[in-house]
Amino acid sequence: MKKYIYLSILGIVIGELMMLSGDVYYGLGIHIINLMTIILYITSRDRDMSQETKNALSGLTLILLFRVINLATPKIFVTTLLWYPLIYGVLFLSIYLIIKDQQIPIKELGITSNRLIVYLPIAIIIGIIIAIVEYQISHPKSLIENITVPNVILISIVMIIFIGTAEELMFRSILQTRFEKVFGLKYGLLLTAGIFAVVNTNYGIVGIIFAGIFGIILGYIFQKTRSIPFTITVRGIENIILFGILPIILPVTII
Amino acid sequence: MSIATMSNISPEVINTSGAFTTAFLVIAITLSLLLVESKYWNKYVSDTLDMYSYSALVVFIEIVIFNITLVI
Repeated sequence: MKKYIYLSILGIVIGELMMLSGDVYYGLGIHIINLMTIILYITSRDRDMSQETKNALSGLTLILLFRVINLATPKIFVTTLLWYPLIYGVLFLSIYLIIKDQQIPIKELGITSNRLIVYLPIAIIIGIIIAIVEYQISHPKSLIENITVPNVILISIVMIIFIGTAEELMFRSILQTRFEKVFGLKYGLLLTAGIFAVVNTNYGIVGIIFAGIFGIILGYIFQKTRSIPFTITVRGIENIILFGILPIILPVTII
Repeated sequence: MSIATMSNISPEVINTSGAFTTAFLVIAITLSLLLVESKYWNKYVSDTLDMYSYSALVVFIEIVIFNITLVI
């Protein structure tokens, strides 16, 4: 049964790489076929498939569904920043349904306030460091026009509450924990980081490697702390600085 | 890079993907109707198809709202 999970992961990788290379329609087609195949597979092989395998496949379909939602959500608002809540709002619905259906305990999801006083400052520092490193590689455009209090509040809400929370729940709380049960801690972490790498990059091989390393760091932090607020803070702070602060205060490509 | 969303996509891609998603919604609902009376129907299939259908339905509503705003 693990073979089928590998095949599905391969399908995701191929679909994402096709989109990365500009063949968005082919990539989307592969994702939808992959999605439908998983449904039919778990339908036909339901009796001889373990609950862990089904849960892992369900976690994978969340990634596929996310990409379909991403590509199909219309840009109702002019700014990209306001487009994200439309996408991640729908993703929250899917995440909620998976958590409810699989009856994943809160503790397993990593939703805890344990040691937050210690974790948050560390998470902020890691987020700042990663943002600075990534800015030197990718030089993204700013998602806000200038650094004003309303703009900073807006980008913080979108990056932490929508993007950070939804993606960390998807990758760490659901996918990684499902994979750990099927493949063990080490391979669960590596496979999740691999998927995170291909899904989270929008430029070449350097981007994939960087996102892969970032995925391993986040996955390792999650394994050690089992605290999703920790990784959400890393992602949120990183994105606020990367897409809000650095492109405005350091618009040149070299820091 | 740290956002999984692909944001540099053209309106044409969004339109086509919207059509794909609508077709996907129809397929998911049809599959539910076909399987519900069969021996293959179980809680897991039901939950999975529900997840797809609800998400695709919300996206479909967003598409309808977007098109209405375009007309207005």
